[in-house]
Amino acid sequence: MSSPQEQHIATYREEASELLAELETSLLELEDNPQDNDLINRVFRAMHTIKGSGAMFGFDDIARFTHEVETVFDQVRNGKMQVTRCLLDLTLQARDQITTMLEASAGGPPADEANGQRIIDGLQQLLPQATKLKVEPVAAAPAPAPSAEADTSRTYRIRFKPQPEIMLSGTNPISLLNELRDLGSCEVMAHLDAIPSLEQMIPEHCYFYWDIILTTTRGIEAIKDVFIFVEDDCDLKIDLIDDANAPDADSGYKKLGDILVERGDLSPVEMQKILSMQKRFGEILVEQGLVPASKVQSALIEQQQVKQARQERTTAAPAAAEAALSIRVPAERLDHLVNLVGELVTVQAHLTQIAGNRHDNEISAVAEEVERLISELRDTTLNMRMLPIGSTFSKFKRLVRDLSAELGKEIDLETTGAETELDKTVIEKLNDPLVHLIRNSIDHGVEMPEIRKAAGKPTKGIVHLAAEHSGDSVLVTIRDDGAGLDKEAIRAKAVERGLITTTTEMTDKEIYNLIFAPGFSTAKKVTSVSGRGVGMDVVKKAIEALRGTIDINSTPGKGSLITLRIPLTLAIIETLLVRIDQSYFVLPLTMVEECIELTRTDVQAAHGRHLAHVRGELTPYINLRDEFEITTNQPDIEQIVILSVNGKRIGFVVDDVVGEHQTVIKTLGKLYRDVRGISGATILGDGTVALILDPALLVQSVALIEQEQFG
Amino acid sequence: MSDLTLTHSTSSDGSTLKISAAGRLAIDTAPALHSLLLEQSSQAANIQLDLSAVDEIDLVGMQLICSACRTALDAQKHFNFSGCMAPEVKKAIDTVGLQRQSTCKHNADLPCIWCGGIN
Repeated sequence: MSSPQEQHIATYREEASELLAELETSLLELEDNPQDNDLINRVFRAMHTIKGSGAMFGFDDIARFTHEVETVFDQVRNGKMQVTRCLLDLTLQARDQITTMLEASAGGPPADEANGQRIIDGLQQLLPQATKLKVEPVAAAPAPAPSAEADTSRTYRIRFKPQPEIMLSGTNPISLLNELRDLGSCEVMAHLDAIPSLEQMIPEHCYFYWDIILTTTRGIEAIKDVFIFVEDDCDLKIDLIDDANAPDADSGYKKLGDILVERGDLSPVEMQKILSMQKRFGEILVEQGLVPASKVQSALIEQQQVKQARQERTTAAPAAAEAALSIRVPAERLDHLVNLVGELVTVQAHLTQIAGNRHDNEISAVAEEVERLISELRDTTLNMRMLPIGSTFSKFKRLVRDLSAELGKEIDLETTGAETELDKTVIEKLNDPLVHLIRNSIDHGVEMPEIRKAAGKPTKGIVHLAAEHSGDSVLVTIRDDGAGLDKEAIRAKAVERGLITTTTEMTDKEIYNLIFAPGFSTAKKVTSVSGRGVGMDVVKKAIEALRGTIDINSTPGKGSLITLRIPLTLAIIETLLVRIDQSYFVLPLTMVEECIELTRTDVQAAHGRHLAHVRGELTPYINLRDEFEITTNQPDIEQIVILSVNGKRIGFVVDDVVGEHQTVIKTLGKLYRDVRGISGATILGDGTVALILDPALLVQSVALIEQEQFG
Repeated sequence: MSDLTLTHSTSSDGSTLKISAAGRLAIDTAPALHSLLLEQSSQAANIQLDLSAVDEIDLVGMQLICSACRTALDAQKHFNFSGCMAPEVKKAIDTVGLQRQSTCKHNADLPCIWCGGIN
């Protein structure tokens, strides 16, 4: 078991990684909206937290480095510096440097200090002449402490009195109030007594000030962070007025007079005098002009809010606290859990089978109940591993930005469906293929600005990355508005490589599919981005390894569309179990359209052709018995399972359809990795191994064999 | 978002000034309303402000109206809203924290005009 300090360090690493991802996204957004103060604040706050927590947990090098970058952004938020492309370039590099430093602290390769210094020097040069950065040690600056502490709610009284000129520097006090509202339950009371008459008023000055009563679990540092950029432009007083851990926390709250005295709105002497009268305290105060009505109202709000917070704590505290909690779990533990659930599914299948064989109603009932529970457990467990694909998308924004700059192109990356969820492992494995595809779109797809202009297109190209659910799969599409694939060039290259002959007749789609051949590249020159011909075949293999498919479409002059269909999970799938003699196979249930009988008479009527009549239509089929060379015990009546393969109906002939089956996917050993048409194996209830068929690849391999045989 | 459009009219006896604001009443447009109020409100005993066509209002717009109201009230005049309050304005009242102004010392401790007070 690791020590609390080690746990905190691990938490810091995780939180810093998240902040760095957020920092990158904010910087990229800032590039599009350089005037957006909210974004500037987000960048500043992310760096501030990385620095503060870093210093707190002994990451002094990170704290020191981040301090330098933060200081520059301090100038930006003060309006003393503009957001420029150069500044963003350097800040993005700084972000990468911090990432490397963080990885180095976890045993990764050491960060290049010279690179860090170069970034800092670059940033310093951007600073206005009058400003000079001082390298000073960074104390443990205020920062939100990693989650451990923030599990109890506290109520704070905040008096926020901005300087009249605050809005002239671009600060909007309302956005600060809204940020406080995001922290928890919040009551805002504006005070109007400083508003002057029309003649004296300067409209752009701020005359409002506020009392805010905030009940939050986030701690005082989170509140201070809200005001971090305006601390010099306002009077700010934050008092803790209720703490769930305090000894008197569950008794009633203070009396109105005590609150006003504590706030400094009423003197203790005045309070005693009023108390001697027999009237409502607040009314007398207002009547006598001792405290303005708005101040009394504000104090009453405080009283009410704290009372309410305390009441909620006593009645619904345990439930509320649990609802707010989330737990970080190491990925390996989840993987282990999924494996265990997989084993459980197998055992349950065995149980169901035994129950079925014994014809015992009692056991059958239990087996059914176990099946229902395990199915629920399976779904819950798999859901835990689901992550939104958006985290991967945000990385590509950076990729597009850097690569397009390198190639002298203007390209925007648009994304949709970032919230689409996929299994964590699938997302990880999808990263490299997507990088390849996006690189290709940038390098081969989108043209240089002058060519685009000449073609009557906007000079800025667009790469659109989208994800959406489709049945038990996710469709990921990469679309660009570039030149499209050059059919003639692909053909010529394929002929040169001996993949086809000059006379081979091919559809457009077949020509496009040639780019997935190993070592195929039509790039006229090799760039650092692509053109080495090691891309698309690797991409195809990677997608197929995920049991996915890749499809390509292109319109000359308009652009290309690449569609990836990826299964939601790699662990357990719904399948149809079929049998040929003593061997069992499973087919993905989502592809199954229907099952029909195939008799000897049908086969004879077709004169040896593998075609079945289904409601007046001819459906081609593959006889799996022939494919797997099983020669014994062929029944008179066989079954054709008709599947939808790449939009076409194809039948697969088997002896018997056993039924639906939850299949826990086991990978085949290295020796069988290259067997086409089989994507894995599963263990049935009685211990029999069933092979998982990959219909698309089976069809392809059968087509290839036929092509070889018949030319 | 549209810019601010201001229209005003005075009743035949000169006692009531009616100002209608439409569009965006914010830091960059509010000075126009400020000038109009300074120019026009000195003669009228009743000032009516119609915010029904305002589609955005910020802190500056709100405090300008507060100032106009208390200036009128301190001079023993009436200052009220006419027409329906635009939803954006209602939302701004909550956002700025004006929803609990149950009394106003300029209005004889009656509710503030933002909270339905009339004078």
